[in-house]
Amino acid sequence: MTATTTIRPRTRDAIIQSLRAGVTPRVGQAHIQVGRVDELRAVVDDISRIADGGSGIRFVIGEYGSGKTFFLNLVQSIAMEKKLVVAHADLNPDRRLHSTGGQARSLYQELMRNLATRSKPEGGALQSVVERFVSSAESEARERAILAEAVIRERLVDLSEMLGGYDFAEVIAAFWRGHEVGDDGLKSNAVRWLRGEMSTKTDARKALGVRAIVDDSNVYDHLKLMARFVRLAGYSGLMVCLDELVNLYKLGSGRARAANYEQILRILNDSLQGSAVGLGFIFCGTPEFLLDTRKGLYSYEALQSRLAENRFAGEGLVDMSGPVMNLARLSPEELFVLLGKIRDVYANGDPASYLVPDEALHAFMQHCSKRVGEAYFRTPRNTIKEFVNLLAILEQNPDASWQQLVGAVEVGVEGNPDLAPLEETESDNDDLASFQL
Amino acid sequence: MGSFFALIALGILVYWVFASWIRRSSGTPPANSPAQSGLSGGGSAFVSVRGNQRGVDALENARAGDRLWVAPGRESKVAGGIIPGGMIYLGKSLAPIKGWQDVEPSLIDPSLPVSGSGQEPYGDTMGYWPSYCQISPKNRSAHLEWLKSGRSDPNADIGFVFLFLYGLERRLLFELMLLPELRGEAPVLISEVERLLALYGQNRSFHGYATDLLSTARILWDDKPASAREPTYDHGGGRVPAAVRVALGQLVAAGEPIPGIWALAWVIGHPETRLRTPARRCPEEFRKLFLARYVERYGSGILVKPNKTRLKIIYHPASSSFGGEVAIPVADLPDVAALSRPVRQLQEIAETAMSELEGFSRYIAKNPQKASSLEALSLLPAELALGQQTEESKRLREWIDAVLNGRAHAVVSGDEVIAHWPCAGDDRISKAELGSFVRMLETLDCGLEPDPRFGGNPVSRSQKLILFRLGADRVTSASAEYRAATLLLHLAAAVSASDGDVSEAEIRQLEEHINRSMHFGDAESRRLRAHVQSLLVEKPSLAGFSRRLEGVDSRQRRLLAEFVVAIAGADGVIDPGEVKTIIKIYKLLGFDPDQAFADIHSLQSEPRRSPAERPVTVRPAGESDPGFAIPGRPQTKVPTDSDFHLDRARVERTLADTAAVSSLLAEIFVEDENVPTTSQPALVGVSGLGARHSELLRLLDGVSELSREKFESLAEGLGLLSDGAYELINEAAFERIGRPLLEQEDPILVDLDGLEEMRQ
Repeated sequence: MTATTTIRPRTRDAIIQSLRAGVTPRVGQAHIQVGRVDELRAVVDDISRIADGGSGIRFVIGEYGSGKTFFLNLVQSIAMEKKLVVAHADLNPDRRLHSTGGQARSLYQELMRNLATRSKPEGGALQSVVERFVSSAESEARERAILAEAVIRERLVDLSEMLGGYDFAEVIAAFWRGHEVGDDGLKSNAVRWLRGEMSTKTDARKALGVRAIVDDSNVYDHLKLMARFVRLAGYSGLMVCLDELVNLYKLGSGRARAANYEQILRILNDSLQGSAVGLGFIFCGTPEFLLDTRKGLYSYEALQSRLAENRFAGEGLVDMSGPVMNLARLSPEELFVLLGKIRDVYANGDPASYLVPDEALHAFMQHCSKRVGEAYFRTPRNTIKEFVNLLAILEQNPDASWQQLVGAVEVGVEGNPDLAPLEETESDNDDLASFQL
Repeated sequence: MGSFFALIALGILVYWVFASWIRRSSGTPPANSPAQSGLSGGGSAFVSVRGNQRGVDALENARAGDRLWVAPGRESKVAGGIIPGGMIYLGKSLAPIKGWQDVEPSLIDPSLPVSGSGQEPYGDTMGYWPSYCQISPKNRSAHLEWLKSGRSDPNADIGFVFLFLYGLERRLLFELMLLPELRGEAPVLISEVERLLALYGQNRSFHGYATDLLSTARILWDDKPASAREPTYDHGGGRVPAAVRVALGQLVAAGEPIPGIWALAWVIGHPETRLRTPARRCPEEFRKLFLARYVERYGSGILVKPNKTRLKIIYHPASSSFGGEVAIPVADLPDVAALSRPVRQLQEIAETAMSELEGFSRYIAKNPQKASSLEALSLLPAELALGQQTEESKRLREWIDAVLNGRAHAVVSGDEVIAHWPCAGDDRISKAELGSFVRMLETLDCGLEPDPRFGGNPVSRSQKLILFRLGADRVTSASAEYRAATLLLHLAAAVSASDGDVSEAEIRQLEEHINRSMHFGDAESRRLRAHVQSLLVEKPSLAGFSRRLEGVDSRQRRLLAEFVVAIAGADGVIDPGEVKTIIKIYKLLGFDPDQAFADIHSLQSEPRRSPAERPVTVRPAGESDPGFAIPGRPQTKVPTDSDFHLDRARVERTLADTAAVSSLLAEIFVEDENVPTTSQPALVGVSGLGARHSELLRLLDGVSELSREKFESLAEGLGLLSDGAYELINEAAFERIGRPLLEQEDPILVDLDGLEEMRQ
């Protein structure tokens, strides 16, 4: 993470491309991470605990622009590095933790679609995970000279004790049979079932011989199963990252909100009591989502008592052992360091090829401050975007002088999309992919 | 207080009136709205954006163009030759619509020089925006030559086709727009564009522009609702074509479900859809399968709620005459292309269809000349294969009809199967071969036992198999209950074969009993019957069975025994006939027959009334009865005294507990040649990878980039699962060299330096 670290060209391009588009990079976040040492240490501890078969839960709370999504992405890449499988999804009106109209299943589908391993960090790794499990079972079967299906069932016998685990094991066995017999239809049905895309029990029964499907009522149970399964497949655990929890806060119906919070309570209890194996959750939300006693998590008494701040923390003292983690906004100094790091990424980590000197960073910040006031470092998305654009111009026009260019930079004030009211029929919040630092 | 409520009531009333007014004013357009008739306000908005830079009035310009236009079908004389068919602008001068050029690019000015006799139709190249008055005389004569010869020379330079298209484009989107009396001409022009598209569509650029023009012209000049037409599919264009957006908008505004073809056009055109190789290689199969799966899932189609984003159609003309993009007037319709949820639903279906076609796609990639062979057909999903009639499938069908001859099932030999199905081995049909054979049979409404998908083993030449008719109801995978049932029957058949003491009749009785108690559907009970039939003709030998049983430890034998009892008693009753079979099986497993009684007894409990399965009728409807009636016993089968009654909950628990036993049994029943007999040494080769994965790495040596398909076929050749191999190789690479060896989806990039490092 120092200036001497070499940066792989692909990572460099990915970081720069994301920053220019105003979204958080999905890879290489470590190269531009600034501060937050305590938070990261706590999360790394969480991850090791999960990898040891424990569980973990965190509520990452921060205001718009404080870097929740960036932090979340960083945590995900750390988790993948530690051999966890990561599932990530943004909540929105169509994706909730609890529902009776398919929204919870839709959340599950999204998580499974985004399932990522360090080999496939971009997501879409569900089939890889299943195939890795099956492949290793097959190798074992060859060694022991017995049938692969027997090894598969033997390994999955633990799952059978869990809710829905028996069918889960059956589906994995069906996947294997599909491979063995060369029946792609059977394989794809098995994967569809695992992704939560099998919509009726009749379909499941005919296609795979199982009675149950993933539905609204058993989403969490299936996440627990998946966590056990990925461990059996050779990974260390499953990290589920849910972003934009403010969407639960924005739910119109009090009952729907309460039902979703109850689900969070269930996850929290399981996790604090350690009854989930190799499963971690990270929830990201804004302060009102947590603190509002009318509509936020604090409106749910049982959650409030479990999540309340340690009374001794604050005033410079930190306690990272509680599940709530507050992300402070970037200070101007931190932004300065960040710009330096971006410059470093741009130069492939080689100080000799820096495009601008330190004074330029300073001048750039001053210029932004003049244009948009203090918002430039509170919601730094645009500031960073323009800085990357500036570097891009300097790289392509080595003769240009940064002094002139800095003066010409246009930075706009950005609005907080969280404040926009919900519109159920329009496209979901994916389109508002947020980059916050 | 009363007045307060009255106020609230008034408020609600006002709100309701207001809300319904809003709804009405923004709702569905009336039937004869501009979108349907194609016109919006006579195109006045169109004129206003169309002011010519040279100050030529648009209407004036359109009239001038009309005067120079050679009507479709009319001949014209140019440069000593005759151009048939018309549809060109011919004359001395015509202003462009708006662009920067002096003269309309499609105008053929007969006074300009042409060179030669047109001997050489392929002139020097023209610019990106060709214009008749600016191209070289040589090119002019070549263009005229192309026009004279009927505009259909397949080898013509695409520039000439474009030049002609510019004229059609101007006519369709400018003059017809401003001069309503000309609109009758539209259909002829549209079909001319269609003709050109069919002839020259392989040129990507022309395909794009002509498709756009076609779809826009149809939006404007076709009176039918857009959804009544055939949709335009834009593969890889990364956008939903205008005509599709209009059609979808109309359907959504009218509250109608989206028909499959429009759903397909939507999802194919959507920028976030990635069509993988199967869809690109087999577009027709993909289309059919998508439609079938769509109907399966959504019936007449998904219903989309109208959204707020309004439809705007921007047309990018091919001709420079327009001077940039043009807004096409359409009715006020929702722009569903902005929605993401329905697209996701559709992408799911497209994804399913693609993965179902993967096998077929891979097969025809490897064997392009065998696209209609039986093997290829067997890889297609049943509904697609059914539609394909080939010589081979006809022969197979005739054979089946002859063998079955109207009966429900018939015995065939492995020999006969080999005669009808290509098998690699001389005297054995492997699981995979049998698998594709049964899938082929399935398309012909026929099943086979043993079936590897339901636990069947490879088949030898001499073995007897059972061919049977499938009903309308299909299952493609065995449920746990079904597997358990087959295993018990197998055991019973084995016992029967050993001492002949268990008769065929008893096995059949057992089958019927199981069939009833497991509540099998039609499909499973047909298959079970065929399975029993195959057990009876094949008479499973007990020799191998006993030998294999020697390897089973006593604890597992116990489990097996409990399993047998639990299945036999799945309905809560074990009749004396079954007890007899159970005792035989117990003996075979090496247990005392008394043990069987003890086990049955332990599953037995006090006969209790089972809990009601439906609301208990306390009192039938009708006149009220003054007394209080005690509900009668639920009418269930009254067991006879000699039956054993079991605690059903306990039986079910035992069944679940003994699920592991099914695989144990499957293991025991497996034919010798199916189990890999030599155990392979673990962890040989590169970096802790197994032998086959190391071999895969060796094959990748020197290949820095390969298509996903190539990777899959390499993996498949080694009997590996490709995604699993990708994952395992990368995992090993992370351990060894700290970075992945394989990157990206398609094509897959191989880090050759890393490969070298891993070798060391």
